[in-house]
Amino acid sequence: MGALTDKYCIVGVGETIHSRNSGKTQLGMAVEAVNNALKDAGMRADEVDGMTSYNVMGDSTTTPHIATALGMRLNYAVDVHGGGSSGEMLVANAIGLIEAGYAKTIVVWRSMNGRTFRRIGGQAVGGAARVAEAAGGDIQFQAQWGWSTPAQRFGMTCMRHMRDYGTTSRQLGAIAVAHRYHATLNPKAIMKTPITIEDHQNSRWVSKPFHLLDCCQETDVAVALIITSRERAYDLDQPPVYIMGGTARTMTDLPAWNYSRERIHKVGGFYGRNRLFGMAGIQHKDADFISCYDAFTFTTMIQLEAYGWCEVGEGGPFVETGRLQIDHELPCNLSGGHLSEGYSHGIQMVVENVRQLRWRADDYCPGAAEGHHTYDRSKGCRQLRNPYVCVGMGWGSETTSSSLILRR
Amino acid sequence: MAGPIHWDRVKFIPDYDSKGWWEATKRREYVVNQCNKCGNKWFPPLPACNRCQSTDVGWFKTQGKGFIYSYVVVVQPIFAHFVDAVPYVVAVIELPDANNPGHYATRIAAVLRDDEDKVAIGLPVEVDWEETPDPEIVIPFWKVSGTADNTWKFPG
Repeated sequence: MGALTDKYCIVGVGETIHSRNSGKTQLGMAVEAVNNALKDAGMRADEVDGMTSYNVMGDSTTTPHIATALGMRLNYAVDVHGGGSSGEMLVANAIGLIEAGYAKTIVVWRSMNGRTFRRIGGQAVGGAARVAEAAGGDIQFQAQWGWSTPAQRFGMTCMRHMRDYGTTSRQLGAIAVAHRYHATLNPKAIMKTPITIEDHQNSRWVSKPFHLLDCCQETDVAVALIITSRERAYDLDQPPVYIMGGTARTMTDLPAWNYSRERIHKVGGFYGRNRLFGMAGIQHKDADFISCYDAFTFTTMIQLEAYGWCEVGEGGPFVETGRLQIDHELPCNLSGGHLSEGYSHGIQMVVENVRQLRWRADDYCPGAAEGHHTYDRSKGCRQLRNPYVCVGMGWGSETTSSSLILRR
Repeated sequence: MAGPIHWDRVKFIPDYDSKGWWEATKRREYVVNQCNKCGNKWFPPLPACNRCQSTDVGWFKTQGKGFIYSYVVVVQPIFAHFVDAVPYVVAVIELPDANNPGHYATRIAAVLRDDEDKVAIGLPVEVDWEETPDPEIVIPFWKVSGTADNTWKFPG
């Protein structure tokens, strides 16, 4: 077990709605998410003295703007560059900073108008595609090849996995079906209509090997988490959710370009898994459910291999049985995840995991807020029966992964 | 590739690390970085050797021949200059004459001249060149150049 296992807690979670047109600035959304997290925890704004966030090339607002809007004086304020895998990493940073005495209570937040401000791949709103000034760096090569978006880049890795191990598009479809089913139990989800494997197979191509239903949603959303000490957590409104362990942007070799490594599908989580489970002091079988970054169906599947839920090359057969669906062997992304709830570069998965571990998932049960659940999926309940441990796996790219194990 | 790539919609600006690579394309040479100290080779252009950490970096002229390691078929365009080109194939290509035995392979990426039905993992490819309206910028395309055993094609 790690020296800090169970010493720090997530005590508040909050978000805006997931939408395709927020009608708000990133600042307006961030303030709403932070206020919701404070209300959830039962804390005042002046009880927070640290705040940190991530953004992709300035697609967000800043911590000083939020502190100004909400009248907060902070002892720690850092906004970092990065997308997926950043949320779990900033939770790790928060623990270290509190332990070292730099701050007492830290908010981790993310705010993006991912549909109405800057779309994935850099498309401007209303424009078909960007006119590039391919000035040096990576873009001067990507612009030659017409190869830039995550769908295009991760597809290269998926295609090689299919060639090496016989993984099929149909197998990936089982992930889309499972996560969509969870979204049907989530009032907040953007996509609530159930889908079948055939729907997945018949959806249009975005970039082969990915169909449309292999891809996540473009979303306007903001999310916030509050991290503080166990001692402080006891006095707050929610059942504490303890941080058992994690990793913070573990990387493969040659992390900037996923070309020349021996196996391009040997992804970052492979290098983090022993650290993760070692720090938390648990084994795979101790997890009641998981979350696994689903920018694409494939990113979930390959991380299940990397973190050791199945053997290398067996991700396809592992997921195709439907074991990721609620009430099956390994429930994954219970809010619907990025494929169906909405897209926040990973951090919304932490929110869902916290609510599940409080036994207070915000589903269709009339008494959900008080923890009264029917466990009847036909009536819209998505709360698991009394889960204690969740393993969350984030993804930045093939070469970068963070993770977070939580317990109640 | 269904239609042309509009090279006039993108301006390429080489940087200090890539300048030699762009100069080589004007001579119709496909080069990769080579360490002047230990001989290690790599792509894309980076200012240090990933084997011995030397910053004495030069260029290695490849034969412009390789094989397809993986590929994708872009159906929904993102870049403005590629909007009429979809669907097109982008491949990661391994260059055997630039590989580093006991260390990393040297792989590049490129857009292929060939349509999807002609493309498979394992097929040999060779470099071809495309001029752009900017006389300083010549783009290496690659094209399938033969057959091979044990190829693999995306079944759809």
